[in-house]
Amino acid sequence: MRGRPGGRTAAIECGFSEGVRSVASQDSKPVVLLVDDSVDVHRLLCARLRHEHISLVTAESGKEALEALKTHTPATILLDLDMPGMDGFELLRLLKDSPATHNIPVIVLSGLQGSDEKVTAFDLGAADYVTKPFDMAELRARLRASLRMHRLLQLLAERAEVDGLTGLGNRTQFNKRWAEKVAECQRYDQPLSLALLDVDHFKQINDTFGHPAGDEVLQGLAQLLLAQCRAVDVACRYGGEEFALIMPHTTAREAESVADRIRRAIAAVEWPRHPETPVTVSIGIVGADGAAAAAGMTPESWLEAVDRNLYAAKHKGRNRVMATALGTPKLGIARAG
Amino acid sequence: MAEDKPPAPEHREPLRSQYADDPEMADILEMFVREMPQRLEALTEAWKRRELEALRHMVHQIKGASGLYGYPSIGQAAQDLERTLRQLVERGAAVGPPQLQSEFNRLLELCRSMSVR
Repeated sequence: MRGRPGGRTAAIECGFSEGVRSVASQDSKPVVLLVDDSVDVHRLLCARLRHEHISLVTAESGKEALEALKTHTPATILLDLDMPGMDGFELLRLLKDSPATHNIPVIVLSGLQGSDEKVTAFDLGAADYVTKPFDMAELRARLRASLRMHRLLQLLAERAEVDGLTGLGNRTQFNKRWAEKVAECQRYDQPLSLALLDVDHFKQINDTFGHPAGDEVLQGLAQLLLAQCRAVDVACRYGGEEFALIMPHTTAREAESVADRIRRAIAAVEWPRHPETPVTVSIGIVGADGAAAAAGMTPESWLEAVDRNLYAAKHKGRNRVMATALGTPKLGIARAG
Repeated sequence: MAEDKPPAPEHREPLRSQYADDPEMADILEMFVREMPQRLEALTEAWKRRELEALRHMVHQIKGASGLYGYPSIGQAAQDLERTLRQLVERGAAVGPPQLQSEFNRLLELCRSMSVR
């Protein structure tokens, strides 16, 4: 994507260089992609939407739009139907067929007044339809409505991947991220470790001190995990009292060290509801130095191996870390309190 | 098509945009007016070469643009000319109806009289 020569400026103005044009943006502003072969429409919308809280990206054809979508994720697409080459309907079909762009609301712009066009557009998945010449106030209002809708959909999607109690990613997110990281490890030959943490005697805590106490333990553990996490790590609530910590670029030995820090920190906490009863965790870890060590592993088989280490940690007395490195036979590292 | 005749020079009333007093539109209006001579040149070229479809496409774009920039009379003139051109293209006729020349002249005239203020 070629931008304006001289780079982006702080003021919101449209660059008119060849190809995909973009307006200077701040990261938090929703992106709106305008697809229209008329430079006049671009100029008009740049001028009229100048004060909206958006970052306007413009494309003069379906092809340019597809290019722009490689680097931008719009919150709404304004799509002109009547374009030479790939027309609006064709692009709309492509957008709705691709999982990456399927959920982006599309507002269709058309010079044609007929209801046939409208029906086709809606049937193909357009969210809204505005006829040209458009009333600017109306277009602005419809655009805002679309951005509101998109924001709600985003929140819904986020909520579906976040654990309500702890704020960590839930199992769905874990599965997604773990698969990604395993693939990266194998593709780019990078170290990777996975830790599973399980609260010791959790049922007893709930039974003795009540469920609110149990909830607080889980929340506290989540906070601790996040505090120990680096930006690249992924901490998730894996099950009722089980957590997963994905540590990219980390060998088994390094992971073991991080895990032991967490283990000791948790054991040292004085819980408000039961200050005389500390809580401990058992931790299983399996790490790989790189792609060779991880060869032949799938996300599931790796996870199973971690689970076996967690089981071993529990059986050896709890409140301990059981870590092994892939590709090294039976060379385990165990640390206990 | 009728013999080419450029419109006789006459005193033109400046054609103001509906958005002439709108500060948001000032920059882009100025651009539109400034670039119009180029558009008219391309239009005249296509006319001379009898490239009807190319001409129709350009007239169509002027129709759309004039609406955006607040020149409805230009939009109307463009629409009339476009309709006539479209019929001509569809019929594959070699000779245009009498109104073709006057519609063309009218459009040029209005476009030339555009002013920003």
